[in-house]
Amino acid sequence: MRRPADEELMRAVQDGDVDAFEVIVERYKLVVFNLAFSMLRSREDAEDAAQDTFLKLYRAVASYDPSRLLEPWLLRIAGNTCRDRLRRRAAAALPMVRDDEAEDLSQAIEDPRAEAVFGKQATEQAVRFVVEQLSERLRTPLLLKYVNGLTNAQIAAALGISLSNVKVRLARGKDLLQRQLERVLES
Amino acid sequence: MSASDSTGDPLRGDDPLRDQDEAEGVAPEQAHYALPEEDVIAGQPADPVDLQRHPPRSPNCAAIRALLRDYVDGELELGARTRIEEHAHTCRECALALARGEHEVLRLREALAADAETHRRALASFRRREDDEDAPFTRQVMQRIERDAASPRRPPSDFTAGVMARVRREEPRRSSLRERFFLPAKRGWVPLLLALAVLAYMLLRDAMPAETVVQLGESARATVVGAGGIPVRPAPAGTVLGEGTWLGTEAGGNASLRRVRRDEVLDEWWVGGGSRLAVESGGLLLVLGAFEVRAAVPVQARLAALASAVEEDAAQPIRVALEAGRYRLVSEAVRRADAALGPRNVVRHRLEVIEGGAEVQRGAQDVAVAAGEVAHFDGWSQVVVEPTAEALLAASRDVAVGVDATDRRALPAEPGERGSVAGSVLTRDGRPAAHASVVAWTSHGQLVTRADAEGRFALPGAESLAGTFAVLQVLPAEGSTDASGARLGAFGPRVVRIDPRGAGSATLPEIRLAAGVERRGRVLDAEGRSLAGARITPCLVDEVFGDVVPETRLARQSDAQGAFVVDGLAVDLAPGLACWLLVEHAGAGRAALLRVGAENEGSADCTLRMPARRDLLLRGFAAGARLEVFESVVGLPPGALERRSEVVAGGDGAARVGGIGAGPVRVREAGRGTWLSFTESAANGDRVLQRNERARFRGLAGESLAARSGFTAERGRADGLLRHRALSGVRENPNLFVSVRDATSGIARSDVLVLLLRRGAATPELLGEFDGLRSLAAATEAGAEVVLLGLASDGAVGAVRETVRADRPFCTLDLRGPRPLRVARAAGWREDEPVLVRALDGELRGMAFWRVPALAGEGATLDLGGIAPGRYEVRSVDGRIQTVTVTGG
Repeated sequence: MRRPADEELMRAVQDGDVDAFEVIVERYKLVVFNLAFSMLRSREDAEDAAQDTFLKLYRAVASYDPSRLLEPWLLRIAGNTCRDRLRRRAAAALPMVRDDEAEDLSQAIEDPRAEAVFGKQATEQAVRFVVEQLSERLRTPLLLKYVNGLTNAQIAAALGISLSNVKVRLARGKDLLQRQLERVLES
Repeated sequence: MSASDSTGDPLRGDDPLRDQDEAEGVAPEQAHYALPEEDVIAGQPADPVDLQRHPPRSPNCAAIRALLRDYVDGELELGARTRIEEHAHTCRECALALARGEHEVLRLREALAADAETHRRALASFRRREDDEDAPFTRQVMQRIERDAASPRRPPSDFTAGVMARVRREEPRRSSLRERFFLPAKRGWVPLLLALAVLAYMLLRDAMPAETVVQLGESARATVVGAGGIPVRPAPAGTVLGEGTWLGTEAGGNASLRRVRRDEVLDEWWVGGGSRLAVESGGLLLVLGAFEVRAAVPVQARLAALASAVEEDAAQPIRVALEAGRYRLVSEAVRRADAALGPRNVVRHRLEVIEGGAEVQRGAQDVAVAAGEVAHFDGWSQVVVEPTAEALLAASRDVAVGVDATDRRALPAEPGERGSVAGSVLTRDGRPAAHASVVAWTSHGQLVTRADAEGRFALPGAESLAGTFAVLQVLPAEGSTDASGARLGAFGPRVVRIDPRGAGSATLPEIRLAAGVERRGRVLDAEGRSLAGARITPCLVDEVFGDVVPETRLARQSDAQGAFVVDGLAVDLAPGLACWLLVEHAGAGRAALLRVGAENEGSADCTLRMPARRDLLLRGFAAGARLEVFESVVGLPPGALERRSEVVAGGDGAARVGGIGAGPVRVREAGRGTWLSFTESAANGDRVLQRNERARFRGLAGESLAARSGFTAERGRADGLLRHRALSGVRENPNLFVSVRDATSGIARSDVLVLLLRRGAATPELLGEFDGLRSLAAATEAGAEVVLLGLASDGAVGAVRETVRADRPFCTLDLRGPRPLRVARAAGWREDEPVLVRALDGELRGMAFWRVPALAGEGATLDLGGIAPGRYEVRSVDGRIQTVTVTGG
């Protein structure tokens, strides 16, 4: 059975066919949830935000332009929805999962073999530390890309910025990561 | 919080990339749709340090380097990928650069692997649940959509398409006319016939009244209503409203309207929530609500005098003629007792001219309102025009420093003296109000003078005063009456403009004193018996700042039957001021029992019943503690006209004060400055105040203003009340330091915006953001009354009124909250743009503070702490207004 294109489905919704919208939801729910979870880090919030996103899409169906892709628009709505939620939360930063099993560095210095392993761990911690120090504008695209696996286009859509801006921020984030890492590892 | 580094402070976002982002930003109306233009050619910029340490050998290498990061991210297409891989085989430098680039990302990925794993698991779990349990997510979404679809709202059709469709419908008519004439009858006839036909058509077309189309734009919760306001059917965007159609918006909703004639947009209206209007031939009839109009051409509108359209005939029609420009109108229903017709809901209008000019036409009266002015009027009383607060502030910005109220730097001038500002006071029928007292607050300070026998007076300093504003209060000489013998009332305090007249002279607008209104009735004691010998004093009350000024010259006593008459009461007070009748009796106590207003106008019999007096029992003190008790007058703002008594706590730690009324009470230990806090209850007919150790003190205004202001009986006027309308400057040295803490725990809070509201200012100034450590400094005048507002990022709010004192410059603001205030999202609200919330009643009444709403779908939540039930006005940066009611609980 032929897979109907997004435009066909959206046109059908515009004409009042609600069932066509269900296909859209099924088609994009994972992508939207993925983005929401990336930004909100909480399962319940991500599901709520994802639902809100689809609802907003439905309500705005009249302004759908069939000559443009649906996915960027949908991700843009999702990104806005998530950011609204984030703003309402106390913390502005994307919380990172803490590594609670960090060992006390001073203990492992004796063992040369351990040093190889320990060195890697220290580097990892240093990287995480430095990433957390980045401004939200630089950190978010980095995390969305390298933790959540979003493509640059998806990041652009979600954050509402241009593709080249995403790339510039990724690059800048990595540049700064390098500088800061050198400093941190030296000390 | 982020350590300061070259990326800048994350809170402030002073990241160099931010400018670029803003430049690439999207217009709010397209927020959900438009994406910025792509520059697909550029890739991720290469690492500049890497380029420096390992510079590319050739332009080809430079091009490859520019693509390396994209390559590592897997963002390149096959052709580009191949190019890079082939080049890396032949170029050592680039191969090493590639390896470094890959290492960079690998290190990042490994460090974040744990997070990535968590993310993957969450995603997998979501997918598994959807598969196993028959897609609960999708089902929930569809259920919500079905609920949405069930409500009587069709998907909004396109506004432009609607207009164009109408326009197109007109076209065929024209062409068919032309077609008929194009069918050639006879050769020679055709051109002449054609010419005649075209001429005839053009004449006909211009003679036909061009239809004005009233069309709804984007609207939230607008419905077509019956004349009484009952909704008939929903009105989605694009609806064309025909003549005779009534439109209503729900509270919290809004609508936009456009009137179009042919292709010309005549005006655009924004209609706030809770409004009602009707479309008439030639214009609109505005009944209730908040409106803003942008007129491209002169426009007329009719305003309702009564809230119920059925009674319209009984009232005078009110019209406003607007030139091209921008205007804001707020129309509210007010209950009023009409001597002839009984109680009705009268509509009071407030028309503000932002740009352009307006004329209010009512009966025989035409009153002009210029840009920067606001007019208050209804169907009956005088149209009052005064400058808007913005205009006032704009004019006062360059004004010199204000002075202490008793400092009289200059003596009043003689009328006609060079360099003087001329003024005159007349009665309504044009006779001079001889020897009236004039009190003026100008940028030179306060001046007191008296008019001569012709009603003329003058103020000095015309050169510097011309074009500025002054506050005037004019009191008629004792015994002055108008032609009919009625006692004259006072004028003001009102703000007036000093108009330049050229050659160093200036004038004030002519002041006309109207006969004051009267109130008569009876005074009763708490048991309902007539109270003789009660003193009734009219008081001017500032309902925002709580000042009270008794007008003792108008005071009267009740006779043996308890009957009284007070007359000469001021008619046209500035907004925010009200006249209250204060009743005092040695046995029955003190109470402010009647607010003189439209609701009791024409009332033949005002009954003033004194509240019962009780004993006040204070508990929770050390035996022998000496206490000072201050009692305010019930009905007046707290702190007004306080009476002090002293009492000593007995062995049981309790103290009793007899004969206290129901008014606000404050207590402190004798000789100390701190007010104590209590929990109040009632027992055995007593008022019981149990001392409460834990609660934090929220400051009240300092001592009674009447006492401080130097008001005396013989001068018959006070300074404190009127200062807030006067112009004042600010000294450079800060004399007020503000810190903020949480009301419950007492711990200093951070992330709080602190605003300062000065008297007379319409909006607060931002002092800064309190970070939990350093106090915020403000420069005010010693003795100034200010209100400090704190808004925390989590929505907690606090307010404190403070009198600035030289010996005690520190002030603490306690925050409580938050408690959400929900509003409907208004069209045009943008993310990150604040709105101004003004409390219309309750504790925070009159205060306004900025908030940034959290917008989600159609609703927005403003988190405001300490919110009491009541009405709030929410105004966006571009001036659109909604009124929201917060209910209890």
